[in-house]
Amino acid sequence: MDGFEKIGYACLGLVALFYLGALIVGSVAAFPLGLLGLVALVGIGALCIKVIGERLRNREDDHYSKNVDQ
Amino acid sequence: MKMTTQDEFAEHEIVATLGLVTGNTIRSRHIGKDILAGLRSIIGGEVIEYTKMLAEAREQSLDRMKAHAQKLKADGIVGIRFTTSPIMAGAAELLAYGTAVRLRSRGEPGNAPATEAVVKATKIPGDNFMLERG
Repeated sequence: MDGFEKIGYACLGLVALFYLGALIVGSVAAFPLGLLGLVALVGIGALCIKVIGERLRNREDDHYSKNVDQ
Repeated sequence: MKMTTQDEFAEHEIVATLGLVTGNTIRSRHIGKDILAGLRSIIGGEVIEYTKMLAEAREQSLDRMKAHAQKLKADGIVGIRFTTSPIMAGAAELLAYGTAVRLRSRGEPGNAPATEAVVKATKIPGDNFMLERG
C-alpha cells in the first residue's frame, strides 16, 4: 500500500464516518419514525462487526492474501 | 500429490479410481481495491487488484480439491478442470474438480516399462517423484 492509497483510504474513511454520524443524527431528529432507520443501522452495524471479526480471525484468507499475487 | 489435466500420467499407472474431488471458493477484494480497479478500467491496462483476486481463488480452490483427495488417501488427481460462474459483482467464484486416483509407478517390479530403459521412481520430499533412467 503506497502513500496515495493510504491518503485515499483515510479520506474515504473520514467521509464514511461523517456520513454514518449524519445518518444517526438524522434518524434521531426524525423521531419517532426515524427510530426505524436507527434500528436498521444497528442491525447492519452488528452484521458488519461480525464480518470484520470473522475476516480478522481467518488465517486461511491471510495466507492467500500474503502469498498469492499472480 | 500429483495433478494433471490429462486423463493419465506418463510415468504412473492408475490402479484405482477413488471418485470425484472438488474444491471451490468465492473471493472478493475490499471496497478500496474495488474503487482502485474501477479507476484502472478508465485508464486501461492490467487490473492487478482483480488479477490477484483470481489467483487467490485459483490457488484456494486447488488446495481444497487437494485436501479432498488427501481425505480419500489418493496419490493423484487426473482430468482437472476449472469452472466459474458469476455469483456477485466484483467477486470470483472458482470451482476446481477432477478424479482422485491411486497410482503405481510404471517402473515398479512386475510392471516394467515397454522401453528398454528402466525408469526408477523415487519419492522425494514434497509431492513429487524423481525419475531416474538406468
